[in-house]
Amino acid sequence: MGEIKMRRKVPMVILSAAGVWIIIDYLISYPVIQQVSLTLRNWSVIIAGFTLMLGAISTSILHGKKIISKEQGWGYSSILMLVLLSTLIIGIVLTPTHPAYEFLYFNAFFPMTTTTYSLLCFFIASAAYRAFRTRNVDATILLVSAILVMLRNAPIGQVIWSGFPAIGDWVMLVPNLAGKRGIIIGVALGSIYTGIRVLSGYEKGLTGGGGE
Amino acid sequence: MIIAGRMSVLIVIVSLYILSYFFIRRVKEGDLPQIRKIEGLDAITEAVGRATEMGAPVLFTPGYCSRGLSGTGAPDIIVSMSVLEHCSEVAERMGAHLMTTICQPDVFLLAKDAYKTGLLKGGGVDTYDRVQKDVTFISSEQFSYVTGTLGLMEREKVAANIFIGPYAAEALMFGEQGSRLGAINIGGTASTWQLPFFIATCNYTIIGEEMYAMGAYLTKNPAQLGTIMAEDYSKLAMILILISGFILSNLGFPIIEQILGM
Repeated sequence: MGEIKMRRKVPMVILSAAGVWIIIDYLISYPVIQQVSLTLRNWSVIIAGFTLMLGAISTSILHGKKIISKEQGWGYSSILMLVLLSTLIIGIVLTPTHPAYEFLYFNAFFPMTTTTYSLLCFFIASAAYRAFRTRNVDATILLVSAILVMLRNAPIGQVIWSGFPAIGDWVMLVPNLAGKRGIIIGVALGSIYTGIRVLSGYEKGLTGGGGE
Repeated sequence: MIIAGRMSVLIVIVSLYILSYFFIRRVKEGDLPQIRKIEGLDAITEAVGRATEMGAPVLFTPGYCSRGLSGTGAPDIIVSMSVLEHCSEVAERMGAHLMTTICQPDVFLLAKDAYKTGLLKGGGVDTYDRVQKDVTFISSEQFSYVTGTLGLMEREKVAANIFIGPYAAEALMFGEQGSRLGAINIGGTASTWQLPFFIATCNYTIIGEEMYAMGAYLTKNPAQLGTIMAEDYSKLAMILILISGFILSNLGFPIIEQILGM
């Protein structure tokens, strides 16, 4: 039991010390503090790189098992492993600035990402069709304000009536912005207090003590 | 000694720290606050129960989590992991199958631990194999993670989705996919850009600061309850400062602005 407590207390102490140091660096300009803070930030980037490697290993094990046992969808897992390994090997052997690597990135990965992103317009249309119905007062207000903002953004709004852009601007700049700022203030305070709990060692979930 | 313009930040940090310490002590002495009902959280049990009856799985996913624990969404990630632990416990007690997809590798480590803790709390055994199988790291690239999760939702025909965490563009895609499959969607994020999409596509939405009350609501942990109380009083103080600053500035006395700019 003592060993388990030590395993949790030591990381918590390191976490708190590092966090407080970074805050002190933000408040005080002193060369030694800045130097240590820079080192801590560099270490965090390196650790993030190692966790990425961990993610790649986990993915490889998951899909490797699927391929070996020929589970449903093993063909897709094979393609994934082929692409993962080829990108890894090309990146390591030829470096990420090599034309072959850039070809993979700009002609395979990038178009697929933008294609998936572009699906959003269809999702928005589908969500709008479902959500903007006059079921109750709140839904009606949502529908009316959505129409006003759409007429503000689409050129046809100005063509129909020159007052639509002004009304749409008012909706965005007054009630919408007010609500947004209220939420942001609440979120900011919540984030700060979560940080205080982490630095004070009250968030046990980060160091494996979530069950207590 | 203090960098110009940052004295007010130091004062605020110290004040909030003192306030949280004060209220945590009060809670530990027995003065428990009443947290109002958060429908989205109560709906988790309903959603998991529905999935159990239908024999379909439940999906929990915390979103893109840009830059993981190093990013600005780190507090949201911490909150989502406590919700994951709760979902895992509820699913284990009800006999439902909970799946999790993760986008960032550091969040993946936390998720495995939270999932396992929840399983153990729910009375589960053989946790190692189940964690390996049900907590999946998809990819650290946003849309690779999105397509992987959408595919999983479609193939497994999930009956309930719990989307709580720092979401980006995938909020709409996940919510819409869940709606299309007829699943119960529970969404929660602190991002004001994604909240409207959750409101449009989810049955229950947890808005902004309700996220940070979730941990306290679920666990009744004294530290979390104390900081919720401190948060409420801080908000009241901020409102008073805003109003007095507004009035004084308009009367020609920008004292509050000068203090905040110190």
